[in-house]
Amino acid sequence: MMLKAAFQYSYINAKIRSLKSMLLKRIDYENMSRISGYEGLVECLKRTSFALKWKNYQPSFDGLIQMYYEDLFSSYDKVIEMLSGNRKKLIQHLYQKYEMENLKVILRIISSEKSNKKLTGKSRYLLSLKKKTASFSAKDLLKAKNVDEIIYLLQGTWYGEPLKHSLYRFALEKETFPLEMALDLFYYKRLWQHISSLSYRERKIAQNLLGVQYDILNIFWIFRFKKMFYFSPEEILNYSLMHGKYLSANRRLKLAYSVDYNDMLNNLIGTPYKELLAYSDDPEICYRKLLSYKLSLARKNWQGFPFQIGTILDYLVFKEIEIRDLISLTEANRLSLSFDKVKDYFIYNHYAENSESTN
Amino acid sequence: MKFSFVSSKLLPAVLISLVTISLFMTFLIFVSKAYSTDTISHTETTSRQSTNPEAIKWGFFSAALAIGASTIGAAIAVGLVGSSAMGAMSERPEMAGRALIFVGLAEGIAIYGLIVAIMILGKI
Repeated sequence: MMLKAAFQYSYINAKIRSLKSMLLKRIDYENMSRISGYEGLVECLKRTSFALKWKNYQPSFDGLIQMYYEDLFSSYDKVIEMLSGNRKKLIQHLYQKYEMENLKVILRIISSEKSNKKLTGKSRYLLSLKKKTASFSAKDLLKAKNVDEIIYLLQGTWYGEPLKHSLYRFALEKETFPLEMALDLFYYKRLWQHISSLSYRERKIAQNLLGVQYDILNIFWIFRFKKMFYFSPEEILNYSLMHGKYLSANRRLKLAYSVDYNDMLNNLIGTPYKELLAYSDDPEICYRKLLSYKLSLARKNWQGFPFQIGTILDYLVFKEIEIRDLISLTEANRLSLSFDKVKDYFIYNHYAENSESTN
Repeated sequence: MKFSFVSSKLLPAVLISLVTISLFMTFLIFVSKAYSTDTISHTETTSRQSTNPEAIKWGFFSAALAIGASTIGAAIAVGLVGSSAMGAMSERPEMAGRALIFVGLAEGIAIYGLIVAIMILGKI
C-alpha cells in the first residue's frame, strides 16, 4: 500500500516540496513589514523567489498584486498538470474559485450599469486567469446587457444553474447578493462531491482539511449575516454550507439561533474555534484567526506521511495564505500604514501568536 | 494514469514474486553448496568439485537469479528515486547534482546482485 502510494506520488511529492521551499520565509515577512514605500517593497521581493517573475510587470502596486495572483495561478497550473482522474478534477474545481470571483465582479458591474456606458478599463477589476483553463470569456460576459444574457452565455458551464435558480430573488431585491450566495453554495456543494469521489483514505484527508474551510465560512457567514445584515435564523440556515468538519447540522442550527456573540461562542464549545474567536468580535480579525488555524492544521499535516493528496492541499493552503498576506502588506504599504496598525490582518502573524502560545 | 494503473494492479504481485525469488535463491545457494561439499567428501575428489554437473547447474541458476532479482529491485528503486529527482529538478535545476547521487545509490542494488553472482560463479 505504501509502495503503491510512493509510486503514485514520488514525482508529485518532490515537486510540491520544491515549490514549498520557494515560499516566503518568516524573515521575509519581517523584513517587508519594516520597510515603507514601493521601492523598499520591491527590493525585499527581489531577494525572494519573486525575483524571477519580475520583468513582465508594471512598476506599480497594482502590478505587484497582479504578479502575486499570477504566481498563485501558475502554482495551481503546475499542480493540475501533474495530476489525473478525480484528484485533477478536485484541484481544478479549487482553482475555479477564482473564476467564480471574476464572475461575481462581472455580475456586479453588469447589474450596476444603468445605461450602456463604455466598458473600457473594467477588466482591471478582474483577476487575470489563464485563458487555456477558462470556462468562459470574461470579455464576452462584460459585453452582456443584463444578468439574463450572462446566464445565457454561461450555458454549458456549472455557473449557469445556480444563477438561474436565484434569478427571482435578484429580480425582487435588485442586488447581486442572492446571485453571489447561490454561486458560493453551489460551488461548495460541487467541491464536496469532488472530495467524495476520491478513494476512502484520500477522502478522509481532504475532508479533514477542506472541512475546516467549510466550518470557517459557516462561522464567518453566520456571524456577518447576524451582525451586519440582520437576517432571520431561518434565512441564515438557508445560506449555510451543508458540510464541514466540526459544525454538524444541529450546531449550525444553534449558531443561527444564537442571540449574541457570547451565545455564539457557547455554541462552539467542543470545537477549536471557540478559543480562537474569544479575543475579538471584529468579523475580519475573527476570519483571519480562523484561517491561521487552517494554516496550523496544514502545517501539522505537512509533517506526516508525504505520499498522499494532503501534501498538495497543504501546499495550496500555504500558497494562498502567502498571497493573501502579501496583498495585505502591499496595500498597507500603499496606504503608508505602520505595521503595528495592520499586523492583525496578517495571517502568518496570528499563526505565529498561536504557535507561540501553544508551545 | 497508465503508470498508476500498472503499479496498482501489478505491484503486489511483483513484490511477492521478488520476495519468493530472493528466498528461493538463498535456499538454492546453500543447498548447492551443501550438495557439492557432500558429493566431494564422498568421492574424495576435492580438486574436481566444479565438474559435478548438479552443482554447476544449480550454481548457474543461482547466479542468474541473483542478477535478475537484484536488477528488478534496482529498477523499482531507480523508478521511485528517479521520478522524485525529476520532480525536484523541474522546479530547482540546481538540485540535479544531489539528486543524481541518490539515483546512483539505487542503481547500486543491481551491482550487489552482480557481485553475488560473480562469487557464485567463482565457486563452480
